[in-house]
Amino acid sequence: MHALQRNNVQVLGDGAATLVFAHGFGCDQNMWRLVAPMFAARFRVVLFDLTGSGKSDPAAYDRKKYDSLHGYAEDLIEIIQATTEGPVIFVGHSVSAMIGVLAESRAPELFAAHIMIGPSPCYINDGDYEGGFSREDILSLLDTLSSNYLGWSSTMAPAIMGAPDRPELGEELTNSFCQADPEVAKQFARVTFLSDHRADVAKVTVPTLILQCSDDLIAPVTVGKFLHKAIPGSTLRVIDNIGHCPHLSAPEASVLAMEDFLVSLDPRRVSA
Amino acid sequence: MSAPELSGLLGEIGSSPFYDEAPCGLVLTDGHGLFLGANATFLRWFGYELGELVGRQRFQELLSVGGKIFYQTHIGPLLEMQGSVAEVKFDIKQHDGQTLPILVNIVDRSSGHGKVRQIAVFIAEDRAKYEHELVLARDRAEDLRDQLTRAREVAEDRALFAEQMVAIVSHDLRNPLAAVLLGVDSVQMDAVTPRQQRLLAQMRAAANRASRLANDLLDFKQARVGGGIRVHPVPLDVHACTRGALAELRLAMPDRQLVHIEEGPAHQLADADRVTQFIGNLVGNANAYGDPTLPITVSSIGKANGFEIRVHNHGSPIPEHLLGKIFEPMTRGEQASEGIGLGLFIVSQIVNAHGGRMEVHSTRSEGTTFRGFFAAGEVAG
Repeated sequence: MHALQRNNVQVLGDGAATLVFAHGFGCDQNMWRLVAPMFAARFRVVLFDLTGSGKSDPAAYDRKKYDSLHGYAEDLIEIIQATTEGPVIFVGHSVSAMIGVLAESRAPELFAAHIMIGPSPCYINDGDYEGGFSREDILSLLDTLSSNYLGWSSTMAPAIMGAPDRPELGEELTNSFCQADPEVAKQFARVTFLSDHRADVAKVTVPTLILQCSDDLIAPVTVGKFLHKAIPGSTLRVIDNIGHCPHLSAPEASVLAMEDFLVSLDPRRVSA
Repeated sequence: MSAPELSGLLGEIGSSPFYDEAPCGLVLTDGHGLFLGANATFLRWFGYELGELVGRQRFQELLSVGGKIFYQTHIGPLLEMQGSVAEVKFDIKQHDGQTLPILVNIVDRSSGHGKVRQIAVFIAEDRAKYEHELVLARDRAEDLRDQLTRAREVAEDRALFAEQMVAIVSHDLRNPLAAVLLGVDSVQMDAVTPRQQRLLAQMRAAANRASRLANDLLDFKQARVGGGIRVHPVPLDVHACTRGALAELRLAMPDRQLVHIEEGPAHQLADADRVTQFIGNLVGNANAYGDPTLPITVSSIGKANGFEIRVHNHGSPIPEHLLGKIFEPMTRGEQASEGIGLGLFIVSQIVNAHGGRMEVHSTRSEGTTFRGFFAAGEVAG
């Protein structure tokens, strides 16, 4: 199966440089619907669904391959190779920021820069390191995922309750966003929240922006600071936002921070 | 939101009993989930005072940690995207620290005061218990399935190993057995005393029996894991072939009367060695189980569309409980002392490989008859 079909890859816009957006645990590429179009005028924008999420090919999900983030990193490398020649600016939300780190260490020639939105290399507290969660917390997440198993009804809410302020939403979108096979969702949750990539982030060699929210339960400010210290030459930018998805709840501030970072990059490095 | 705005908003809701005493918890928050109000049902169910929630707590902060993460990764984005979610299951922390399972529906609306979030909360304890049982049952079922799969894999590995082992040993036994037979033949020329002659004849019979056993095991392995016994059909005279087989058998069982009946056209298509083996196995059985004082009759019957080999003996019938599985491997007669129960399995495999089938008929009055129908047309193998 070709990466373009497997991961439902969409390419928008045009430009010398390519931005590849990767969504995090929970939803799919529609997470980027407010920010991706703002870049499409000047960049090639590549969007995709992680295998097991959104409209990726369900048959491609292999429990062994995706039992660590390395399986997802392999996919990312194939997606970049299938869509562009030059090194890309990789925008990874949450767990995808770490997928980008792993992919860069395997194929450094494909990466010109990382933009990490709400990243965390390790969600579990460990000694002095404050990831924010205990192992029991993550097991309680698996319980919550299990008990929201029957029917995936939350995604059907607009059909039941209407979407009062969202007349523009197509039915197609509301039926697929956040929908995943519950067993896949549980494995992805385990892989995401029980992984520890603190040793890997030090290997990042390209310019990196860490976009940190001021109030984010999943990736607290302490984690952003840890990453800033661990990634040589990285930029830490804290934006005023409650929650884990600033690209949805504070799109303007997110785009502004990304733009500032993009103009600071050496143009020779980011174009094919 | 300023204080006058807030009181204005709560004024809109009013203190109607439809709101306060509704049969579900009703919560109003701002766009970030910060409490603006909650009805009396909500406060009573979960033990909170209005004053400790409004302006101080976000709704999602009352959830279990797993619920908080789920809210951030799924429900928050869904609300941003589609403005509502329904039937979401959470655990909520009560004021006393206990948790209770709840179901919530949430709708975001824009009002004159910015975005407000309306939340309806239902206690779902019984549903949670039921679901918990379902999840446990499913986990147990999955465990059992995994155990079964592993056990089957181990058993298959062992069976394959054993079959291959049997095949290798059988194959390697054939050369030493051939050497023994060769040795017996050459010594027999020099043997003089009747005792030596008798011992050599016994040795030959024993070595022949061991060779047949080794060959049967190889055929068994070929039939089981090699996709069936291989046959190489050529044009032959089926009557002559049967005659030859019986001549050999008479040497091996000189005390036994073997009768040959020939019927129909002789020219057929079949594997001569396999037909000889087929007759040998059936006559061997008839000799072992039949009445030793009465003859064994072998009929070769040519037909337009193939031929039949029929072997009949007198004596006690085959017990009823064995008849149904008599062509399965490792099925042995009750007084069997020789062989490991592969003879009839191989007989049926030979007929199958010729595109035919076996029949057996056994009664006290008529004796026992095995009939092999060899097809003339397409030949498998």
